[in-house]
Amino acid sequence: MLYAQHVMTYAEQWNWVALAYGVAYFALVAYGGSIALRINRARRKLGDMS
Amino acid sequence: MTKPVHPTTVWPWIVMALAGLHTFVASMTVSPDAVQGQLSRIMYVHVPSAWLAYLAFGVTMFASAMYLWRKDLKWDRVALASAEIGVVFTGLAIALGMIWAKPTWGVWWTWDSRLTLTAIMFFVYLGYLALRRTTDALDVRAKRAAILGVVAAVQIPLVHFSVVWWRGLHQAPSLIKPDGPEMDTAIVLTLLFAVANFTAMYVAMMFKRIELARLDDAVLVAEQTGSGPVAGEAVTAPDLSGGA
Repeated sequence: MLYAQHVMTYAEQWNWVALAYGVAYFALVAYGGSIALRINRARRKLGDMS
Repeated sequence: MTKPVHPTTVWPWIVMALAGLHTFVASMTVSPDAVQGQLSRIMYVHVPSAWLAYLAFGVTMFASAMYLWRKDLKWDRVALASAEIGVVFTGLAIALGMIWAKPTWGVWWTWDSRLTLTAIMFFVYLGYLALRRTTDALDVRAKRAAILGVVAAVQIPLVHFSVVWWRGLHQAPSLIKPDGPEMDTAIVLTLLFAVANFTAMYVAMMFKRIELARLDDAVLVAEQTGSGPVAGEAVTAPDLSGGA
């Protein structure tokens, strides 16, 4: 546990935090977007069929 | 005949955006941990992701059991929606844990009991999603998935208590303990706030994912019953009048 604070600089710690939040929010937005796209595609298919 | 297409609801998207924003602001403004420094901020997205994995797979188990009991496809759609969301958050928990582990432990991955069992759980539920693609018969698909959905849930307590039952590198529970949390009050409150926000995000995602599952089933039924367009209807008859 002591590794991070004593070996890494303040900026290096923030780089890891930025990477983690970048990955997390990119994944959440991408997944939400995929649901929206798939809903639109299914609705269009149903609209074509009716 | 297919069901009429209703206008989609907007509020789940708003809830997702607000939950994400609140978590981000709270995580960036709370004081860093005395030992881990800024890296402790990763905990505010890693822990809620892991919590959502448990919650989502627990809901999948409940909905699967309800399907086996009631034979109602709406429970199958709830199980599917929750399993897919659970896979996303399990993958996220693993990825965020790795990003924290590299600067803290010095390695991206180690075969610790918690990490290994979480990875197995991730692949088992990926298998659940793959199993659902093996047939287009709605009842057969739902029954197969429901059986796996119930059986696979045995992994949830295994993953959670792995840090208690086996000695490993991953830390033991520090929030839910008989003698109270070991963390500073501000950190505990921020973590609980992040967990609450992620739970709201899960509920909102469930609404939209169930809507998608309902639409997908309607498309499948329309294709199977032949109520969709056939070639004869899709092709325009040629004009033989010679332009007269």
